[in-house]
Amino acid sequence: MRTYDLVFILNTEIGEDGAAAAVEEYRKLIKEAGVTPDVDEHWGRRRLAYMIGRNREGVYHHFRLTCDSKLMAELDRKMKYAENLIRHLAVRIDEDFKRQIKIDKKKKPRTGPPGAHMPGEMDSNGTSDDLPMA
Amino acid sequence: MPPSTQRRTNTKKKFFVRRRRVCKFCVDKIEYVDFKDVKLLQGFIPERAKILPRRVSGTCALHQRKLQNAIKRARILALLPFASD
Repeated sequence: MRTYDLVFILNTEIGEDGAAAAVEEYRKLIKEAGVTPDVDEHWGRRRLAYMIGRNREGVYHHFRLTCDSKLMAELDRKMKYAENLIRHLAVRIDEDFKRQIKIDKKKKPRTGPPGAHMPGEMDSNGTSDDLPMA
Repeated sequence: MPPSTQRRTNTKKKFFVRRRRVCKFCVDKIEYVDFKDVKLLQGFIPERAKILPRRVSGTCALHQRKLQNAIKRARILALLPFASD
């Protein structure tokens, strides 16, 4: 079993309902394979750093899955031909993450999506939630 | 003493001694450089969106390679630009 980070960008033209339906479609495919996503984050509408096609903005969604390569290959194939999906990227992270997990266990538990804070930055509660670990 | 045998003084240039920069990832104990962590990565790409060299950022060799990969992935996902004017 491998751990993957899967991030994809949906076209904003389909609207919020269309984006939710598209994400649900992938969620259903993952469920049918008997996998529960470790992380299922909807980042929402976000400005792109450069134009992709005619789009300046996109709807981002992030999955972290612990599954076999067949499911990932299937998702990749579907996303490649999906009409409303403008870009996707799946990265295998289990090897890179092993040591980080050990380091994280020694640190305080953190919550929240990545990029919310700079590393080491504390919020008003005195905790920091910048790590990608769920 | 005759002038030719006198020692010359103040002929060497004074080199500007820069404080040695430390690897931010080693200090914060970050093993996995996340490509989704845009705030972290933005500190390593200045205005022109080029990746800062190690000698400027102070990153160690291992983390510079990880950082490069993370920045390139973030660029693919349009979280960071390839180039900016």
